[in-house]
Amino acid sequence: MLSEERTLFHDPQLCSACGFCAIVCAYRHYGTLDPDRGRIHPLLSLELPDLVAVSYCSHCKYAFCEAACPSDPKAIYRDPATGAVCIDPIRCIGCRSCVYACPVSAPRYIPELHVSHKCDLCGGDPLCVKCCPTGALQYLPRNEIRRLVEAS
Amino acid sequence: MRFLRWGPLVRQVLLGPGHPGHAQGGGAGAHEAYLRGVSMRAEEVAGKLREALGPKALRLETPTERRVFLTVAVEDLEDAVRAVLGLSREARFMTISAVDEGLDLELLYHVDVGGTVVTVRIKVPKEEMEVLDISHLAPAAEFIEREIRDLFGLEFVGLKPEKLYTPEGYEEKPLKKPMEGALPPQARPMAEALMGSACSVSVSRAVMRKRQDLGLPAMPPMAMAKPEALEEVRSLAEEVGFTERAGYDLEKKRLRYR
Amino acid sequence: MVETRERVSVAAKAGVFWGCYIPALQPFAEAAFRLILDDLGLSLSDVRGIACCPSPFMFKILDYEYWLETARANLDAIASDFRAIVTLCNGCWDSLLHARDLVENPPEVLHIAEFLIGLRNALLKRIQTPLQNLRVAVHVGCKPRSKPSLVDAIHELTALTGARIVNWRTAKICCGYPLFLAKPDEALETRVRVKVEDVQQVGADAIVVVCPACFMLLERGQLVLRRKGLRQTTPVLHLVELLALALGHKGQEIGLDAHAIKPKALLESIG
Repeated sequence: MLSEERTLFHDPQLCSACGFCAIVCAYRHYGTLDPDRGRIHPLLSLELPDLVAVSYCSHCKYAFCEAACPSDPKAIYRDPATGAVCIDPIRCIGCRSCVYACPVSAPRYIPELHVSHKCDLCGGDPLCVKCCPTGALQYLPRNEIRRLVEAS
Repeated sequence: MRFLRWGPLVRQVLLGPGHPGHAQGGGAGAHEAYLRGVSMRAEEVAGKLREALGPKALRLETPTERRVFLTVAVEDLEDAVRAVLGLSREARFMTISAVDEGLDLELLYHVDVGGTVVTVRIKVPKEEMEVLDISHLAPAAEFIEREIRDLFGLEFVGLKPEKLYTPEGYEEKPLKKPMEGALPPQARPMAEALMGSACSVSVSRAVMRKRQDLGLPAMPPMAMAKPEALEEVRSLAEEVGFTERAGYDLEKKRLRYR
Repeated sequence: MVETRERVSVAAKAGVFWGCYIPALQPFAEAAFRLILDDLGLSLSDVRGIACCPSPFMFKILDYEYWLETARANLDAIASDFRAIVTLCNGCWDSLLHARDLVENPPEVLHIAEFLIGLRNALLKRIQTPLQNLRVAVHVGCKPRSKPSLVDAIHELTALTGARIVNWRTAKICCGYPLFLAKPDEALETRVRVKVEDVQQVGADAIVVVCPACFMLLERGQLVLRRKGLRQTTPVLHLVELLALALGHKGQEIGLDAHAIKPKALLESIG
């Protein structure tokens, strides 16, 4: 069941680990330039500099984080307009269940605010994709992503 | 829940017996009926304010049918408050909220006009930190104005000098934030350079000398020094709201904080 | 014959958008490019927009709409006068390329390498001192990576000079400029140091870049890192400087001694 719904796609071959996505994200959401505040995390490994990994949310169809959220009603919900899995900071109790449940730890915990945060696709127009200098980040329909992954 | 039953009593004390707001054995239903009788809906209030203030009313919003937001310039505050209080015999000054927005201090004067709350909104730039005292129009404002002065350091012109909250000799303003805009410190020089010279880098004497040594014209072939071009850069910034968000002063040609 | 036709078609209504970093901070690149143009017998006029491009990294962070709007106004102001605009900077190229979609009858926006690769025959004919003794590491920069043909063009132009291109593991890693805006120390340690040490390990004589931001980070960054234990420094060259050297110009002429890291050994090896 792959839909026309769009989500982030990252090409590790193109990425140069510049970290710009994290910086624009942090400024957009928190008004700071600190890339650690971003909701997308480029990970540069010196053993494998050719393939830069980026940890980001893929807004799963059956989201582990959503299932793991213990607060009632759940703090993690799906935005009907964009299909993004979002955290409501008012309902979040800061238990970090979602951080542990997610296979790539896409949600992250902010100690100062005592809540977790994660990508919300900027309401359907992700800034990181618009700003990515190499074109490694793209915002594509899920079936298209599936095709690209299978082809590579 | 007991205090709820004081409602009619309070109303009787405040408004006097025989007043239509005085509960006559009807409870909440009677109060609703009273409000229907005397109150104005937001649209009506907005219409009257627009008429009274003309161009001084910079913005009028009615998000719900019993809420009106009126934005005016700092110097028109007295006229605006006078107009709101003059809307009805029932108009009652409620309180003032102060919000520190970094570059400006926002003041919200809430007035209850027979069940509809009218809020007069002004923004006091932090460079000035001065606004007119309105306690001659609404005596109840004196307390909250003294409180705001103690906590934010905003001076109300004409207000009596005694403190309300903080002890004598304590001069700190606990709720006042540092004066900072949305731009992170690293971005300030570049933003200022672009607004000031239409270029992210400024050209110094040393640069010109270096260029001449290489046999190049001293003045770099960059877009600059054309006043009309600079004007366009600035007006674009104003159009998309960049100058306001960043806190760039178009007259003084610098960021408001540094 | 091919060459003259090429020359005429390019020179007509083409201009150079110099940007701000190159004329103000790295005038040697401007000098080198002007010498190359003279050698080829081309005269391109200077393009003066209403503003600098503006800097895509900083202004994309601060206000994407403002960045795009200014870039559009910039291109709009020069669109009627030029058919093609050559940029020496990845940043200007990025800004103006984005603005192209918003302007009517936009001029062609060419990266310096795209422009020069079109003149490769003319360049090849005029190369006087092939830099055969030189081993260089090519750093393409982020933006051109989105266009594979441009990456190839940069490598081909470097090879044209006779210099040998070394393979290095961290070639595709960013110079650290965007991260430098946010966390300067981290950018120098995890990007510049890693890249420079890798270049030195494979034994390259110089790093070749096509962007003033990469140039600044890789060169100035090394000076800072030298105080923090970087043992050796490697000179950084613009692609146009390398080409100017191959065309027979002396280091003095293009201002190589104005670099913060003097490419002395490199000039000696050329002879």
